[in-house]
Amino acid sequence: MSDYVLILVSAALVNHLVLQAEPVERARLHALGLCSALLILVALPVGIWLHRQFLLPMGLQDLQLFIFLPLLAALAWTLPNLLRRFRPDWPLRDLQPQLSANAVVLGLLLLLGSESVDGWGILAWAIVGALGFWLALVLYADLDARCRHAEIPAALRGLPVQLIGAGVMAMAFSGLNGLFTQ
Amino acid sequence: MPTTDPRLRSTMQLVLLACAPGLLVLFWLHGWGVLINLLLSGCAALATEAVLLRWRRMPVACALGDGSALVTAVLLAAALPSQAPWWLPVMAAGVAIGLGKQAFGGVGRNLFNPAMVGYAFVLLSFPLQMNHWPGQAPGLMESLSLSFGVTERIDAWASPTVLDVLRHNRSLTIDELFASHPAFGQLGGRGTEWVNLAFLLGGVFLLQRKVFGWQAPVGLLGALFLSSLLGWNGSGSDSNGSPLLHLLSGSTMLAAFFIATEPVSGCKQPLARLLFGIGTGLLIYLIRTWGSFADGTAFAVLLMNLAAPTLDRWAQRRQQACP
Repeated sequence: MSDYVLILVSAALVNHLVLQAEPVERARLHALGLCSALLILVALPVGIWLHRQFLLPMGLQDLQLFIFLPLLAALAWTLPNLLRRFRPDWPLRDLQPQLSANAVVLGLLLLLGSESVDGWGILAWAIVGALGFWLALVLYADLDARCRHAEIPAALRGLPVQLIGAGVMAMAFSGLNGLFTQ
Repeated sequence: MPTTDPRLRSTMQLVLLACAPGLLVLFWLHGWGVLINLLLSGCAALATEAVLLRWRRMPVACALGDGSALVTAVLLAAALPSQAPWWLPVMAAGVAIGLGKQAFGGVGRNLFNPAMVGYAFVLLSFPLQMNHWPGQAPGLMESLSLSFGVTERIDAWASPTVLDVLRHNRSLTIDELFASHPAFGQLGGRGTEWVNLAFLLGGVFLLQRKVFGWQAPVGLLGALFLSSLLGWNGSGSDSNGSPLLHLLSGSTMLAAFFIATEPVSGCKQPLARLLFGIGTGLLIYLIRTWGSFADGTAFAVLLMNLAAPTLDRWAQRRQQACP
């Protein structure tokens, strides 16, 4: 359980710290959240299906990254373009780098690929992972927005206070450690 | 020259006054260790605040005079084990003021409840010391030598709390536990039931003086009551505990009236405050019953602190939509 929570939170953190230097507007944040959620929802079952149908019978598990990465890149490119066709007014431009660098899908694929989870379990993980990542993204954006004011000590402004906030966030999430496994 | 905000100061004085019954019962229950903790965490909190304010070239005296650092220290002392080694309250208070409050810009700017940041930090870093609750109240000299590490800590003195027993119990029914186990009292944990009732008394006093709204405490207690009622699987050996046991054990009342009501890191809108309380209550029950920690107050409050802006925004939008 804590492995999965850790993946979700750290992926949201990386998405913010590395890829978004400036605060993002809310519409774009939710567009990114929705696209990431869709990516997780589609990539997880497809990736696991490919892993179990082709890689496992042929004994090619070591090559799983060569299958997963192109799959994710293709989906990250397709999903925003597809969504833009239905909703032209949504701010979906240039989401591809952030989507393809999303560690949460790859992390979940690698974790679930090595475990014996059945089809419904994979689907449940996909839905929970998708919503969880969206939520973590929104929570982190709020944390980020509230860390931008003049009263923060000069030495801590910007990245340091964001990292302190992320550290406290990690402490809070570690309360869910071991949930349902005791 | 800037002066202390008189409203903040009088609020903090009221909160300190309302903590008094709970602290007195804790003193009666656990002895001098509570006062030593109070002294250590109070001094550490004030010293950390003074050093950091001086470092930031801000007026020290008026910021210390508002009493907010002292309230953080008192809440920590009420939550920490009474025979903790001296460095535990010192470190908890230092982290609470340093990381929880001053790093984010000082009073009125903290994103998280400072006391809970300090508590979660020491709970995660020193789980052994944080779970060492004494079964009896030692005298003053004994408490001092225990706190400063002169005498060796005797493990046989440690007694599990009622929530610990409930988590690890596999053989006895609840009635048998109440009849035989020393951690169980009349209604909840032995002694902690009175601590909780004393904090309830203080909380009702604050509520009557309109220091905070009713929403967060009612939401928290209501959610904890309902979830423990729904999760109550009878009194067998696999029991999750009755609603009354959950309401009067651990730090429930302290959390409901003194921690979830913190105005800066909590919600501003009344509806959002209610949801904040409900979320905290549900998370406390979740962590207590199925998590790996005996009591989940600190984590529940920190998690809800994260969600507070989202809840506020949602409540505001709802209010604008249907005024």
